[in-house]
Amino acid sequence: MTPAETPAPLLRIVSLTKRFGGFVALDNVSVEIPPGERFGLIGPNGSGKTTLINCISGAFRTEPGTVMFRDEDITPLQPHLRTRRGIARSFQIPRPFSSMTVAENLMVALDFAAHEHISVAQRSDTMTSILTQMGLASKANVPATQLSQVELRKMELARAMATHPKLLISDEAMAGLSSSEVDEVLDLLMSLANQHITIIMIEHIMQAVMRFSDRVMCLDAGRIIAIGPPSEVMANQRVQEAYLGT
Amino acid sequence: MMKRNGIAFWIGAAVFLGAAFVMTKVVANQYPFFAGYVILQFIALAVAWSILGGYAGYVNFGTSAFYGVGVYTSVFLVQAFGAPLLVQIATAAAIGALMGFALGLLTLRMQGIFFSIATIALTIIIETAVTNWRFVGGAAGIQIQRPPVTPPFDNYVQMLFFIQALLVVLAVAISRYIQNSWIGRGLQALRDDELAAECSGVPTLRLKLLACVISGALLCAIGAPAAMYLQYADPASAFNLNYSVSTLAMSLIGGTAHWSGPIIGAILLSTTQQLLTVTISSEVNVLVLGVMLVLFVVGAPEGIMGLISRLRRSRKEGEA
Repeated sequence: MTPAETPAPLLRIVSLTKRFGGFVALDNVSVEIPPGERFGLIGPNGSGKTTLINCISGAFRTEPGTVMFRDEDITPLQPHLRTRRGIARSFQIPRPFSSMTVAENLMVALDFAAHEHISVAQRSDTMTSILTQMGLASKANVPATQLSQVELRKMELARAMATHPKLLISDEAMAGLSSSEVDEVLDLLMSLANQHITIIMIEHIMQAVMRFSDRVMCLDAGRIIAIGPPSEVMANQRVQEAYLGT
Repeated sequence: MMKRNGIAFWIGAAVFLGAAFVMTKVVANQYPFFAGYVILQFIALAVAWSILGGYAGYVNFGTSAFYGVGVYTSVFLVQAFGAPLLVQIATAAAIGALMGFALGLLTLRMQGIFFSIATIALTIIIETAVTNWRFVGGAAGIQIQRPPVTPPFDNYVQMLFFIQALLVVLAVAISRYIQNSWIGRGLQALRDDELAAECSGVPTLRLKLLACVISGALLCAIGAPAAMYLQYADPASAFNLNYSVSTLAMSLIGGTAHWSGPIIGAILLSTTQQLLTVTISSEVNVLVLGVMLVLFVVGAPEGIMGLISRLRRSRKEGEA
């Protein structure tokens, strides 16, 4: 393939390092993610997955390292500015706005992140269509505190979608769900990917990762130990060692 | 619907101001104005406090710092230039805004109880500084001469009463605007979860700074006329922690989720306090304040407004 045929990467991470005191959580990580990719991120607990997405979404400062998004260096930007440029995320432990209803949760994102893309008149339509897609239409006026675990996960994804993202990072959206609920959330993520949204999925449920991902990256102790098609990464000796601890 | 609410609100505000003005013309007894001034002052303080403490959830124990700075801004301006009352209030608002901005920068690093403790420290630092400042009277305090009253008023306390009523309307109008606008939604989001708010596009730092600046400017401006009201100022009373505790208690007892909560709480508590001060003693009202705060924290943690909306909800569910 000539360079002209390769699409410019949506997200480019260049030699990213993150230290907490003496502990190196991410060690010189570089990766490129092209637009439209379904990207699986795996690794044992404490390998740096969530740290990496915190660096992408801006919750952590990186030192040194560069995060490029759509050919723009977003490293110095605060999280809300990254969200407005099209990076949305869900949280490993759901963080709803608990004094609000489901609809109001989405309204925050529509008001503050999507205001450049969606006019005031279109907002309630957009909200309805997102809630319908997520299977939450009947819950629109329910307080967020009354949702079940799977509904909370869906609301997190819905709120992320309401920011009008180009890149969606799903941080263990399926943790603690039953197998039928896992399928439900996986189908949702698939349908989002079909709307030309690039998705980074962090997950421990291997079946889900295998089914979902175009490409998988495995982190261990802050380093990339394997990256490539899912089957290749799973077969990788070092990945198996990292997971089984042999 | 929004429009109609807005018209109703402004009609209410005009009626309130009109009534306050007519009162200065009709009522001859001076006591209602002395007591009314204090009640209006607490309403305004509680409303201004809840912009930061209620909407944004940053509990500010430094009301007395802002209030005291307002008082001493007036003292300084009178001593140095003989400045008129409106200049005193406007300058106090500007200084309060600057103080609020500095306080807002604290929220960068401190949340929850740590922020609250820092605001107490702020009170002590400023009080200590003023205590050692001779020009405004130092620890001994200072007597202030009232200038002649400005027409159409014929009594200075009545004029102060009306001006405090204006400050109440200003504070309530600002608080109400914030609650109904995107600012209110953003503050509510960051109160619930700052990181989630930030990741939903909410500029949390900018909104916190805005809340601190507005709340600080109002708190200082509300304190400014107190120097003229008492004709005397001393650091121990101007920076009295009672202002912080009362204001916080009034807001919480009224409920901070809606702009009308602090008004209800302040009317209820400060009227009770005035009655107790007259009938029993001024020490008892501090005790009553404490007891009411405890009762509400246990029985109605979301205040009177929270209680009302809970009752309304359960009645609706009962009907359905």
